[in-house]
Formats: sequence, structure tokens, C-alpha cells
Amino acid sequence: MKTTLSCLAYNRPGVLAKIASTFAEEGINIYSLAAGEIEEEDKSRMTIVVEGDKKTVEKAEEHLARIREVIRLEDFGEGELIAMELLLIKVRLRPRSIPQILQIAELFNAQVIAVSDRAMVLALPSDEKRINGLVRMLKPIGIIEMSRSGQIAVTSPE
Amino acid sequence: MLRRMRDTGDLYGLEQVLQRSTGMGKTLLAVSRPYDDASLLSVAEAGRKGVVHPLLVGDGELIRECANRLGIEADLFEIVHTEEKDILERTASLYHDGEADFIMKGLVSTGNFIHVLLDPRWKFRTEDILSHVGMFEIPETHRIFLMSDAALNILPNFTRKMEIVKNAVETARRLGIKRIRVAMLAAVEKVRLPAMPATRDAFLMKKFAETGYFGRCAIDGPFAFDNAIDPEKADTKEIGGDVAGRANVLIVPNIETGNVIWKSITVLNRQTAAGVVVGGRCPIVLPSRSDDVRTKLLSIQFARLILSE
Repeated sequence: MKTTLSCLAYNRPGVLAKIASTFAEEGINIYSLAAGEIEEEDKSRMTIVVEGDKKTVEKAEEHLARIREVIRLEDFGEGELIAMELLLIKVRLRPRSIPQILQIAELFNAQVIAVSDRAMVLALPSDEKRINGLVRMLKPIGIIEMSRSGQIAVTSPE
Repeated sequence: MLRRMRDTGDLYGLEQVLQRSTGMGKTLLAVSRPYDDASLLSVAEAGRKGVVHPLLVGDGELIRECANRLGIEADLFEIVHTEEKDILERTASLYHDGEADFIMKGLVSTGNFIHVLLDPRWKFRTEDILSHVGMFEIPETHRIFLMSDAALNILPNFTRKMEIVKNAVETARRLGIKRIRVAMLAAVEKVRLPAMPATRDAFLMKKFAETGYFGRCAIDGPFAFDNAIDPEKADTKEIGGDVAGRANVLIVPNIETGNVIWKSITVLNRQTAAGVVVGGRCPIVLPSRSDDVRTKLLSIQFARLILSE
């Protein structure tokens, strides 16, 4: 089961290591982790997607809350968060596959951000499901390289 | 006589090239609502030149009155008297039933005209898309240019541009341009992303042409307009290849670009031009309602030329 956590913490050395080891101690796999500054410079928000049963994750959350640098920890339930990740994907460019790649990009609203004689790079900021869909569609054409940012999220405005 | 520059395979002398349509035998041209002077005078002149026999679809009395006022001989045309609400359908049915060889729009909005024509019952559509191909000449360049699409496709995506290129290349072939050199126009010669998607499409069209989809022709891009048509400008910028400075088919990224080039040449530069819609079962003469007699006449001749091949 996947759980998305939002962790607001002071932006100091070693914080990320403490958080990661907390999950490791509980045997929880970090599926994705994205961190960045927020509106206050000395703080950062981490969106962490972990895989583990509910009880173990709750236990890890208790330990996380005890870390001095952690200001707030939220466990997003379904429907409470607006989440997105960014995909950068480089695909092989063969003349005959050009229309197909562009049609797929259009279908997913992905943007072509670079082209060369041999490859094309697409970018797609979207939810996990759509990103997985795009990757699946591009696979037969030939993926050279791919990078996913990991999910970032904010709570719903309602 | 067909005039072609021997070394480059280009055509030049627009009116002379279109004059070839006079010796090909008359074809039947159905014209819907030819109530404006320019439409009537142009089809009458095309009739006198032996290019077409016009079938004028609309209010018979009104057409007869207009023709009398303009001094057009009655034996030059045939009136297909039709109720106002049925004019567009009647025009389409004339083509569908084999009573007309091609079609021209008179005093009708382009949207309505195309909408009716594309009704599946007329079987006008082919597997190709409809696109407009303009033809003009810039005397200093000593060649005729085809340009697409300045009238129908507003902001084509890559797939649509492929079909626009295909239609334009086929038109060039039918006109007798021997060495077809297609320039994909943009604002600069390098791919700039994400700011200028037209440069990406131009670059990729050149790559895609390697598949042989367009047949025998050279396709290159992106090019700024001047570097596509003027060899000196292309040399100054050290842009190589067969197409740079020597293009004879120009593909614009969107309708605005096409419209501005078209109007700059016809209004500012006062050059003659002609235009047809291709990609359907027959060419359509689709002039702007404000086009003059000469432009409409040349467009009829242009359509006749590519119909006959």
C-alpha cells in the first residue's frame, strides 16, 4: 500500500538522512521523495511516497514527529491532496516514428523540449497514472533515458 | 508554352504558365451564388478563353440581370436556377452527379461552403485533408512559388502539416515544377524550444521526409522567409542545402503567417496571385470575396491546370 506524506522541516544538514533512516529502520521502502524550499527560506517541504502496511507506516510517522527539525508531518488521505510529478524522457528518433511520437505527445499534452537528429526529449508534468501511460506508449519506440522527479503535493484548497 | 528555367527546374511567368489551361479543352465549372461582378466577369472570361463552361447556380433572374448589366454574352454560361436554401447542396450535387468537373465559390461564406461540401453524401472527401495552395511570383527571384496554407488550416499540428506538405508537393508536380524544393518556414533557422514550436516541426518534417512519404522532392527547414527565397541571403548566413534560397514551395506554420505573406505580396507588392483548395476529389476555386477579376480568373485557370493532369 502506498502512502503519501508531507513533511515540513527546517532546511538543515542531516535532516533528510534522519528521515530516510527512520523509514529504513521500520523496513519501509521509499517509493519517491521530492524536496524543495517553501515560501520561508529556512524551511523545506518533502513529499514522500512510501510503501508499507498502515500500522508500520503509522509507527514510522510517530518516530518522524520526534525528529527535532521536523515541524509538521501530514499523512494525506485520498482526495485530500493535489499531487503531480515531472517526467523527462528521451526517445529514439527514427524518421518513420516522428508522427507517432508527436501524436502520443499531443495525446498526453507532453511538451517536446529538445530535438536532435537522433533523439527527442519530452516533458510531462502530470499525475502518476498519466505519466505511466506516456512511458508505456513510448516504450515500443525506444526510450533512451528517463527521469522522474517524484511526486510533489499540496493539500486541496477546499 | 510552358516556361521553365532549365537549370533549376522552376516555373516562371505566372500568367504564361496558367495560359496553358486555355488549350486543354473546356471543363464544366459549377459556381455557387455568382452574384458579385468579379465572380461573373472571371467565369465569363474563363469561358471566352475556352478554359471552362460555367454552370451558374443560384437565382436565375438575378444572375441574368447581373450578366446583362456587365455585358456578358448569354451563350457563355448556363444557369442552374435554384432556391436560395438549396444552392450549396445543388452545387455539390452537380459535382457528385458528374455534371460538373470542379467547383467555385461565389458570394458565399467559406465556412458554409466547405461545410456543405464535406457532407459524406457528396463523397467529396478523400483520405487527404483539404488545404489551400496559393501561387504567386516574385519577379526578382525569377520563379513561381506555391505557398500553403494561408486560408484553411489555422494552426496545424505536425500530422496535419504532413498532409499540407503532401498536397502542396502534389500540386507542384501537377503544375510541372520539375525540382520541387519545399521550405518549412519559421522565424529563425535553428530549433528553438519551447519558444518556437514551428522550428521543431520544420526540423522534424525534414527528418520525416527521409521516409520517402512525399516522393521525389527536397524538404528542408526551418527557414526565415528571406533565407528560403533569396540565395544571397542564404549564402550570407552560410545556410547550405538544395532548398536554402531556392525554395519553390513554402509551407507556413500557421494561417496568420500565410495571410501576411500573401497580403504583402498581393497588396503591398501588387503581384498577381492565384489560389485553390486541394485534397478533395477535385480542386475548389475558393477566392476571397474581395479578390479582383484577374485573381479569380487566374485561380480558375490554376484549378483547371491541376485538374487535367
